[in-house]
Amino acid sequence: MSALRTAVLSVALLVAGGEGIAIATDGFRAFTTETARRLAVRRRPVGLPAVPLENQSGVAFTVDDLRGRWVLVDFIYTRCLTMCAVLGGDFSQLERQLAEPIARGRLQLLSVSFDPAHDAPADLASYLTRFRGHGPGWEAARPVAEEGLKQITTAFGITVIPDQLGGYTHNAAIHLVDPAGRLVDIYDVGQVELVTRSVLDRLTP
Amino acid sequence: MRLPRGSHPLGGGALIALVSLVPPVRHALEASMTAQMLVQIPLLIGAGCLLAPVVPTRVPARIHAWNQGGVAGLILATLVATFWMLPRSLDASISHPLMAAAKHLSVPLLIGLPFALSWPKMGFVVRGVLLAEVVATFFRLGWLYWVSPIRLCNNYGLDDQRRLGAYMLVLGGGLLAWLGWKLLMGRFDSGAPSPGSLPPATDHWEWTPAELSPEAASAYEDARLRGLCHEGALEAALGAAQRLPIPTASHPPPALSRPAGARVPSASRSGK
Repeated sequence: MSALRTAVLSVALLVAGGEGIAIATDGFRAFTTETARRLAVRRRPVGLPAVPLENQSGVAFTVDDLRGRWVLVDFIYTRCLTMCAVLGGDFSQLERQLAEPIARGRLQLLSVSFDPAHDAPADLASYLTRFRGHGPGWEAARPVAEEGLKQITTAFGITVIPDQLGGYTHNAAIHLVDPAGRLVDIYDVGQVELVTRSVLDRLTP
Repeated sequence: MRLPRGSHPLGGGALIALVSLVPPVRHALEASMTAQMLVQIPLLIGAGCLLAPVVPTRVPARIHAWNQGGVAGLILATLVATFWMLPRSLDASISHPLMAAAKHLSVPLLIGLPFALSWPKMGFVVRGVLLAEVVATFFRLGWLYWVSPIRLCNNYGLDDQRRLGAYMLVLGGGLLAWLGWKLLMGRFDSGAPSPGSLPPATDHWEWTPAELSPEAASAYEDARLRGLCHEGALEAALGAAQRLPIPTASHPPPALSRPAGARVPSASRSGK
């Protein structure tokens, strides 16, 4: 009797536990926060807060001002020599490959610094120069307030942790924001071709 | 599961879980992936184990009917442990206060406690499978963390992840060596015998509660539920049987049902 009860309880626990783990991993697809963030955005686009920003020329604007265009967003800090350099290369390539929709004002590239204390407009400008980014198709910006930085990184799901060298480690990706100001997709660093195709597909009615 | 005299397991267990929630302590324990996985979570499991001896005896007695051989308890503990091994769970427990609370409650109460209540009931095979699986998990995860070029937790760096992997491989190796030693030495037990307990024996599980009188068997069962090892419980059961009133004709002796000389199991082996 005890063996039977134990067997019943064990099976019930396994079923419930398996179901629980399936829910916790989005059906065994997302074991990391980064994958989960990407799946979640695809399933349910995230509305972005109207965070006040300042671009490489010192011009103030908000995230809301970008509405009406598709926007590709990445997060960087200009002293970064690793991930952000790769992202810079990707954006430089995207700026060239997507020159046509950019010229027609239907697409914008935006690099947001999560280190506003170090990244003054001049630093942002030299970052763009480093990757031959030419405004106004590709802009770099920093949040003007600490609160705005927190809002924008939370909305995008960016986690920044200090490293031992005085820099930062951060989850790097290419984010796609739709004309309604919602984060709709996230791509891996280096997926330039995929991003290009995806953007062109969305721009073609 | 034996505790030093005078300690308060309930207080100790709760204290560990609470202290781990104090912001500076929590920050220190969660500052690195290594500390969270190899210090904080084991501490919380330990806190749950400390609670086992203070669970009122009737509770495990009731659960016992549903937990033969400790299997159901082991499954519960394993499933909850699996959840807390997911990188995104570790991340979430740092970023979301609700997940932090869930961790500090579920790791002691759903891993440590059921494990401590089930381990004494587990037979040789179940314990062996569990330990082999623990070793394998240390190796699998350790290897993954060691070689993965991708950060698995957004809150932790790659260096930290690699260091954790190395530590886990070393720990898995140590555990495997200890297991091998135990197997080679022919003994496989939950703990060291305390002074006054029965002498070590290779066949100590030959003695089952079935061979005891009903009174002794129930005392044995109680002792096992309190977390005593097999020998300790057997000793307690024999002691309890001796304290019972002198048998009368209507009440057969409440001692062991084994024939003469069966007061201690070693007597039955003396002829070997």
